Amino acid sequence: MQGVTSVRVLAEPSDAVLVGRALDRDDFAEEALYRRHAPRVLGILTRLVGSKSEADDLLHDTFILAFRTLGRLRNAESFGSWVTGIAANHAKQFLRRQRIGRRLGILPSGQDASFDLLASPRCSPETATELAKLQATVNRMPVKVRIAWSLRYVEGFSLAEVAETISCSLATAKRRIAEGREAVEAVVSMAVIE
Amino acid sequence: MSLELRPPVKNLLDDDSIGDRVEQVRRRMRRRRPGRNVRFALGVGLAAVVAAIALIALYVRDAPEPRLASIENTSFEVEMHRIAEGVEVWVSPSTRLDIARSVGRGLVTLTIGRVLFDIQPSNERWTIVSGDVRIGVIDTRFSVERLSAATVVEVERGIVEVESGSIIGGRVLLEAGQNIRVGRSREPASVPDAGSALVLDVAVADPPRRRPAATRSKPSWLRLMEARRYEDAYAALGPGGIRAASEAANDPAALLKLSDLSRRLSRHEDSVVPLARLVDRYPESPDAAAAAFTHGKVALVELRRPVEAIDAFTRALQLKPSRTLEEELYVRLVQANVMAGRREDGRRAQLEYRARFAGGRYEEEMERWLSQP
Repeated sequence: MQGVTSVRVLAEPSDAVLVGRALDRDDFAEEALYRRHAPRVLGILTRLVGSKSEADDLLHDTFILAFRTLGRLRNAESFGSWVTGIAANHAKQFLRRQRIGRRLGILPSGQDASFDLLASPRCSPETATELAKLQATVNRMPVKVRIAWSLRYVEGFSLAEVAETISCSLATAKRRIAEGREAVEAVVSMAVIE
Repeated sequence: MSLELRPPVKNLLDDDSIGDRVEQVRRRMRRRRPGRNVRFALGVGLAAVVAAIALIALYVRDAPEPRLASIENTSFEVEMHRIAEGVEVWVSPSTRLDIARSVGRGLVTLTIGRVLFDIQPSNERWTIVSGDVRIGVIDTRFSVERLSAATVVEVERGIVEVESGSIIGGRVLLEAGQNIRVGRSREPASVPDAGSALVLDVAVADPPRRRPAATRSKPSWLRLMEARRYEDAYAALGPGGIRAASEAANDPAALLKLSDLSRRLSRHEDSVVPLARLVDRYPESPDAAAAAFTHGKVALVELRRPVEAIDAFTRALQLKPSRTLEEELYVRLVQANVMAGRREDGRRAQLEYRARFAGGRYEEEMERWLSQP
């Protein structure tokens, strides 16, 4: 290390800076935004729809739409929650189409990323069994309830974050989460988030 | 058993494929592959064209009129009718139903009474209507009873889909051993039969929602257990102890609680009694496989009775365990066989495991057990 007198650590640019640069057609900024937020968004999508391949497609569409409509983002610092909202909306549309497709018998009903299949190796078989029951219950929830409850109880979002993500009032978010919780409580024992 | 899941649920999950998938999606984005919406629109367009062609073809073929028939059982005995190829109905006394069939579809309207359906898989899609309840059939044997104020659906084999405005979410899938009682609108939900694991999440009509009877009049031992007074709860089981309480328990949840109570007090010998009872009495319960597994584990680890454990694990494998549980069952079966001196049986279980879970995560552990002197 001889000859090195000082090391300057560069702070990572904020989302606001990256959004500004992406709007100026800076490919690096777009790439950086994707790398920063895509893993989290893909995790959420996978757990919401229970399928890896479908979640991949939804992630693709989410970021295509996000970068195409970046100019509409009012608060550039909130890119993360904005893109999560787009993803949740895509998931909602997908789940509705899937439900119709299943009724018409034109879509398979299998899930390759259900809670029990994603269960951590640390989980006991009993926990995995409970997770399987939980997934079956979530699958039966109305789509809007499923999204709100999942964001709160699967992802750990605050009530305000849920309302912001699904673009509804706090009261509506609360009502949907409560509806989901009621359905879950009848099947598995789960701690309540206050 | 009866675990409490702690949110957020994502902390219990593990998905190590995220990084690779993020990269793949990014590569696709760079290739400017059309988005899902565009592909969906193209798909819908194509489907519309195909549907239009199919409709025209049907019109040209001059599709046959629906065929209608009625069955009314005015006798005092159950009557069996074959209403289509592979579709048999057992009609109870004082029952009336109407049947309509057209190409690929069958519709049965139950006006009153009880009918047991046995429908073999075919290309024909059957729907049963009873009041405001619609039942879609997916290869099954099940009964439908239309009462004056409710419809009861009970599944013996396969799966049916029950739709009604009185069910939360509008629809529910029932599997073998499950049942549902759906009241007409404006009538309270009925209490489902004990022994049906799914009923708790489907037996719902207009609010206010009633609690199952079991929760309204809890036995004293259960109340004490919930208050964490385990010794007192055990004493409250009475002179017959765990055996009598297990005999008296009338649902899988109560049996699981009894087992939990015994294990909390390290009464391992007692803890297997309610588990064995659950497996014998409610083999269709979603908890049955896990109960048999726990029985086996207690027998193997706490009671040092490997032969009993082998029986329990073998039974659990027959009870449709989840894939995760199934994998664990195989490794414990190998362990129990080795501990019982049945190395050859253990080897057979290992081969079965390999066939079911190629490259499974317990391969190494199995080998370790089998190589023990």
